[in-house]
Amino acid sequence: MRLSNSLIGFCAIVFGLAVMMYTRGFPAQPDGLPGPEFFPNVLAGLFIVAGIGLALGSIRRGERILHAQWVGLGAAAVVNILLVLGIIVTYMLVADHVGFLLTSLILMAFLMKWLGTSWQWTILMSATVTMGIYLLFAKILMVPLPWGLWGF
Amino acid sequence: MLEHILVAGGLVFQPYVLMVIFVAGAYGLFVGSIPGLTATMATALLVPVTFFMDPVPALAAIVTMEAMAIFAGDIPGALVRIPGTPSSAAYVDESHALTLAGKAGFVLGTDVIVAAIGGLIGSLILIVLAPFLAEVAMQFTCYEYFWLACIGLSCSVLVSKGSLIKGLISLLIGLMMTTVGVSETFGFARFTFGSTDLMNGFNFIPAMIGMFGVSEVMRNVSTGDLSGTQCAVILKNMFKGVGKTVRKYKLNIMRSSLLGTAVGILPGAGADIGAWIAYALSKKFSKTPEKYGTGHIEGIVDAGTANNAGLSGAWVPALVFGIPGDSITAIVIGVLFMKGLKPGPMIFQQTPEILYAVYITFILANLLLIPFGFMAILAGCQMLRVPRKILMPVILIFCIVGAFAINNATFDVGIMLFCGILAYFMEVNDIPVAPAILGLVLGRLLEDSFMVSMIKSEWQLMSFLERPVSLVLGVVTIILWTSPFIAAWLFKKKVPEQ
Repeated sequence: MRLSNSLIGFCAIVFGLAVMMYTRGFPAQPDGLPGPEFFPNVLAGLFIVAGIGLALGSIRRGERILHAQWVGLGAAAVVNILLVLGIIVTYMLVADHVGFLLTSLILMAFLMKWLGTSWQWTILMSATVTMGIYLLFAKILMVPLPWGLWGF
Repeated sequence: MLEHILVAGGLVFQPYVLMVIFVAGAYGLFVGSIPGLTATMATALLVPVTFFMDPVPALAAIVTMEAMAIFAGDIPGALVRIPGTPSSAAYVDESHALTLAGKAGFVLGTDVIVAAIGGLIGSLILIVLAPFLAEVAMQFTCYEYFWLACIGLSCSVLVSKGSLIKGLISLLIGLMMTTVGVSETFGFARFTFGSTDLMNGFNFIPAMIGMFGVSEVMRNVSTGDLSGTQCAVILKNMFKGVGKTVRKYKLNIMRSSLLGTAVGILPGAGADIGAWIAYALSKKFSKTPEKYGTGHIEGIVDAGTANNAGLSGAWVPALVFGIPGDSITAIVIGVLFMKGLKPGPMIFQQTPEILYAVYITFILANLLLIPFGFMAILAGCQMLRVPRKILMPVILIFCIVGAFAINNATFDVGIMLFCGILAYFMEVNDIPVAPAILGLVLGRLLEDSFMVSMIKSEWQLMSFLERPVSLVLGVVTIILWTSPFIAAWLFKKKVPEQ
C-alpha cells in the first residue's frame, strides 16, 4: 500500500508520541540523571521532527493529504503477497505438529501451483528442494528441524 | 606478518574451505544472474548455512559469493537488458547495445576481466589500508566510537536514494529496533511487552532474511510475469579484443578502482553507487562522450571495474571500526559477532590469521572470477530461463528454515515475517532500506558509547570534543549534518541569479 508523504509523516509523529508516552513508565535514575528512556526518547523526538518535515513538505508541494492507495497492484498481486505471508504464518503454526518434511512439501507445492507451475515441475521441484533442505540443515548442519507428531 | 600469512594460507587452502569457496562462487553466479535477486539477499540466505561453519570458511563463502554475484549481474544486463543486481544498472543500456551489435561475447568478456582487475586492486587497497587504520583506531575511546557511529549513520542517510527525510525515517526505524530488549547499560527490559523472546532484542539474522529475502519474494510475486526470461544470444569470439580494450583503458581502470574502493568505504554507499559515479565520471572525462549510450565499451570498463572494487572497500570500515560499508558488510558484522569475533582494531591483534585469510580469499575469489565468470557467461541464457514461479517458493522455504535454524526458534520466523513486511512497505513507499540496516547494526554501539561517555564525564557534553581525534570526528559529523541545509541554501541562492 502506498501512502502519501503527509500520511507517512503523520504516522511517524503518532509513533514518536506513542514511544514517549510508553517510556514514561520506565524507572527513573536515583540521581535524576537520564536513564533507559533517554535514547528511545531522543529517537522518538527525531521521529516527530522528521514526520513534521515530511508532512509540511508534502503539503507545500500540494500533494493529497493523508491519502493511501494500492498503487500498481492488481487483485492477483495482492492475493499473491497475502499468500506468501499466509504460508509463513501457516508454517509457524503447523510445522511443530506436522513436521518439516510434510509442511515444506505441501506449502512449497501449493505456492508453486498457485503461481502457475505445471504439476510435473511442482511435484518434482517441491520434493527435491524439500529433501535438499532437509539433508543440508538436518543431516549436514545438524539443525533440529521440527519433526512433528508423526516423527518425520 | 609472514607467519600470519602462512597460517592464514593454511586455513584457506584446505579441501573443505576450497569446496566452500567453489560452491559459494557457483551460488553467487546463479543468484547474480537472475534479475530481481540481489547479492544482499544471497548473503542473508547464506548466513544460516555459514552459522554452522568455522569463521574462515564462513567469511570465505561470503567474500566469494559477493564477488561472483556482482559480476554475474552483468550477464542478464548484456543479454536481455535487465540488470541482475542493482550494481549493473548503470551500464545496462550500453552493454545491451553492444549485444545487439553482435558483440555479446566481447562485452561480457571485458566485464569479467575488468571486474577481476577492479576486485584485485580493491583487495590490495583493503590489505594496505585496513592495518594502518587499525593502528589509528587503537587510540579510540567511547567518544571517538560515538562520533564514528554518527558519521556512519549520517552517511547512510546522505547517500540513500530519494528523499533525505525518508532516509532519516528509515534510519530511525533501524535504531528504534535496537532499543527492544534488555538495555546493556541499565539492565532494564525495554519494549518487550512481557515477552521473554524479546529480551535479547531483534535477532539480527532473521531480521536480515526478512528484509532482503521475504521482501524480495513479496515484490517478485506481485509482478505479473513469473516465467523465465527468454534469451537467444549467440556468444562468439569471447575475449577477442578484450586485451586491447584493457590496455587502451588502463588509466580508466585504475581511476575507477580507486573511486569504487573509496565509495565502498563510505558507510551506506555500496557497489551500485560506485558504478553510477564511475560511469558519470567516465563520460565526463572521455574523449568521445557522444558515443555513450550507443554501445561504447569505455563506460562499461569504468563502471564494471568500480562496482567490484567497491566490495572490498566496504570491508575496510567493517573490519577496522565495526561500521559496515554496505548492506552486505552489515550482515558480515552480524556473522563476526556470531562467531565470537568483535570487529574493530583488536581483531587485528587477537586473530590476525582470520584477517589474512579474508585478504587471501578476496584475491583468490577475484582470480577465480575469470574461469567461473567464463562458465557463467556460457550458461547465461540457461540460467535466465529458470522461472521465478519455481524460484520464489524455493527461496521462501529457504528463508523460513534459515531464520529458524539460527536459534531453533519459531519466534525468529515471526521476526523474519515482521521485518519482511516492514521492508516491503518501506520499498513501496520509497523509503530506502539501507539506512535501517545500518541503524540496526550500529544502534547499540551508538547508545552504549554515548551512555558510557556520559556516565564517565558526569554528563559533560563538551567531553565529546576534548580529545583531538574526537574533535575532528565531531566537526566532520556536524559538517555532514549541516551539508544538506547548506546545499539547499546555495541552490536557492543560485536559482534567482539565473
